[in-house]
Amino acid sequence: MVIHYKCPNCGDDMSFDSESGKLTCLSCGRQDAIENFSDEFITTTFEENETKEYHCENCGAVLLTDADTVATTCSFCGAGVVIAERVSGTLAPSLVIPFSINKDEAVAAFKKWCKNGLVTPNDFMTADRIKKLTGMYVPFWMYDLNSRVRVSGSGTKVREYTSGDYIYTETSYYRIFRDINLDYMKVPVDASEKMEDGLMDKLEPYKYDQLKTFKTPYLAGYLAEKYNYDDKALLPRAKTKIQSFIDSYIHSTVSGYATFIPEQKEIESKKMKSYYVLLPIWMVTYHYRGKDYIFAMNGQTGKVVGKPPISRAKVAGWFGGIAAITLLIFRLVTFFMGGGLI
Amino acid sequence: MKKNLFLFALFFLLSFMVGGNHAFAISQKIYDQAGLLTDREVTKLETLATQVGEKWDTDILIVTVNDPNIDVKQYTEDFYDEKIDEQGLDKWNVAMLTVDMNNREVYLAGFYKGKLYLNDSRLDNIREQISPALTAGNYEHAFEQFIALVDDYMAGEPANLFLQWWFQIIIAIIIGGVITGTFVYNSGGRVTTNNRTYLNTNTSRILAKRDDYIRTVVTKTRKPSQNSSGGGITGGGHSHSGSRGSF
Repeated sequence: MVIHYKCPNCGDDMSFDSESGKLTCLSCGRQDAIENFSDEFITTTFEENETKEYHCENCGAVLLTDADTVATTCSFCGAGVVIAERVSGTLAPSLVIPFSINKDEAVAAFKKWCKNGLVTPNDFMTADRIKKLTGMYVPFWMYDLNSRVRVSGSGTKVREYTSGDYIYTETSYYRIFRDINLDYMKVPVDASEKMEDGLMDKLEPYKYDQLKTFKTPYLAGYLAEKYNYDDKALLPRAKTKIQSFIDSYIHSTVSGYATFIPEQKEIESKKMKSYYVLLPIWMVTYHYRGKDYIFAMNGQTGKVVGKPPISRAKVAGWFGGIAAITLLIFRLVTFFMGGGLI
Repeated sequence: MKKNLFLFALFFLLSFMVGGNHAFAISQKIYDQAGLLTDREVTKLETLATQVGEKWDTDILIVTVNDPNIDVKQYTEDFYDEKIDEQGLDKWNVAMLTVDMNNREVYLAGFYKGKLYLNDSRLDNIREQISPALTAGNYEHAFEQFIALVDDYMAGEPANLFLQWWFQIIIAIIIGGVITGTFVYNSGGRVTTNNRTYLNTNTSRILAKRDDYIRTVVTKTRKPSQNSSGGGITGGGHSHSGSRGSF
């Protein structure tokens, strides 16, 4: 079943507007609050049939989608449509962060980011060759994790004092034990096969105050994918993500010591809850010197990540400039202290 | 704006450079109170010391003394304090050699620019090289050697590693490399989450902790003695390098 939002006023296609957060008709300007939409399509479980052909509700043309697509625009008439089977039952997302940055703002944010590039080539910085800009809801699992940490190790405190002709160094050894309860809330892990994990990790953090209960109209006008990995499969990755957080928390609980070496560390992390969440991401395809560069932008905060081309000349310039100025400062210091300038 | 600020800073620094760092030369360099040299030798050494001293803006002083009541290092410091007061200077660049004939001891000291180029170990080195001539009673030769060695060191670089070219170049390259490397590394976006981003601070806490004292180990090392050789600070508050020895 394909969902298409038709304006009750004028009959044109409606899509999600990031500014007002409402379902909006571009023709007559009618806006509908999404919170009031019913959940009927989400609670219904359809039979899953991946070879099934979908037709656009608007014009009847065949929708060209791959098996993971949840929302798309009809390639024939341009209407935003949602494939209901793929957001229902076990595939129903529980939460969504809607786009806060629209297409124009995304272009502006990308251009600004390019301009701030310190080591990217000049002709790249103009950012005038954006080939494709796609607003996309990427599936994520968010985990509430509880970790019980029991760590013991040895610590030292060092005191130094002089008496007579000698300097005394007094090292006191301590046996340290900590039993810590840690709760990490909504740690996101991307569940799409197509997205590079490292890239998605760098897009964080999202502002969670805008997390909304999922409703299909949020997807209208954007692309959306369903998850490829379930919450069980991605739990280990979530645990790895909090590993360094846990370590730095442990160290923050051991203060006042000169050294601390953990000898026994027991970390028991449990999943308390997991949520299937769709997060807004702008994918930017940028054409530069015969090559396509892919960037991702956080659709909520505008943060851009990706691998831009690096200008060797600029890298050399920065390196030479910084090294030369540093050396100049050193020489001035030398001169002030009474040494020669050259 | 940024450029202006930079130029202003540079101007400020340059004006400092012109003002500071100047020490007037004292006319007499050789104080042969123990009478080790002939008049002709004194004149010759005076000329040599003046020449080398002018070249490096550092007075080279040679003092000989024969008095049972003095300590050679103390005497050197007092001598410097007395002469700097006479001239009314705040700082006075000096490389100084004091010979105590009564105790057959010698003390070498560097003040300000002298200290910068002649640290303790360089002065030790000079002292070791001139000691044979002093022991043999060949004082004029020893003093000539002293002036020549001071000249050599002053022609080179300051004794401190951080003020030497090759070291500064290496550090500058490392700093440039690290900063530029960070630029390249961060060109694709940085991770901006930290350990508090997802932490629920209401429920995360220490449930139990124990800090058990086990034992204390005390080690002792001898204080680096300040009196033997090496430098110090004069009564007038002028810090100096030094090297002391017998001959």
